[in-house]
Amino acid sequence: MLQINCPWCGLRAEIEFTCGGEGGIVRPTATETLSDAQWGDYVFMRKNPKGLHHEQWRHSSGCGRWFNALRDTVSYKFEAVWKIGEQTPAAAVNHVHTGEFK
Amino acid sequence: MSILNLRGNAEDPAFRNAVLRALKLELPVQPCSSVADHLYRLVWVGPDDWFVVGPKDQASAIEATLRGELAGTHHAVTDVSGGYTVLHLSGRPVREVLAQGCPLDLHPRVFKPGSSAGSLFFKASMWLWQTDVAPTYEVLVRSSFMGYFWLMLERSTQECGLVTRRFQ
Repeated sequence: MLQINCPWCGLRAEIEFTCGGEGGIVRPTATETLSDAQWGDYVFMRKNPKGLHHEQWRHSSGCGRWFNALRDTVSYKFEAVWKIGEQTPAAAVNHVHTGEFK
Repeated sequence: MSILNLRGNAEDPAFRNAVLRALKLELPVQPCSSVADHLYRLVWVGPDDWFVVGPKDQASAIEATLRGELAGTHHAVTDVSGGYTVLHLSGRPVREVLAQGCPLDLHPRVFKPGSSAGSLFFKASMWLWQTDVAPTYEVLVRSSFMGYFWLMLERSTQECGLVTRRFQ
């Protein structure tokens, strides 16, 4: 059983959490100007790195909050967690996904 | 029991003071904490989210008092008495019983009177807090999960027995 560090509740069992996939996705502005390919890119295309991955998780059977996590997809180790809107921790700075799309 | 959900900005002193005036209880802003007196209990659920538990048939009165004091601040008060149930669990083996379906560390070093936590009992979400060192716990469960919760509680107490008592 993994233990995940919730930014509010501290270390809790993995079964209390839900993974929300890739983090940091920003809804594009001026959506009416996007091509179908660009819109499809925003809606469907996700990064799938081997190694450190910026994800969003929810402590669904706890405080119910969404938060950011930096997780290694090979070792499953959580390298960092931080609240939504909080400054990105140093460990995660080079791996944070932004809402940019092609 | 009267159960209400309270939402608001924990960082706003006006909000905290309004709750203090309405319930005569300091709003718990520490994660996973809970406070109570002989009448009401306030349970931290999230950074802007609390449960207010009070005596039976008082929900409307509590709601009116809270709304009166909170007027002008950013808040939400919802009577959820119909959607949730509170169980008192006490007795020597209660930790072992809970531990069968709950991943929390309930050791008295970690979880003590004044602690609260949202967690799971087998597959059902619950909010748990400890009321005394006996130990006595109270568990808040969604009413729709009560049948399942009770079934699992009966199963978890097979070794020690389960004595039920209705509170009026």
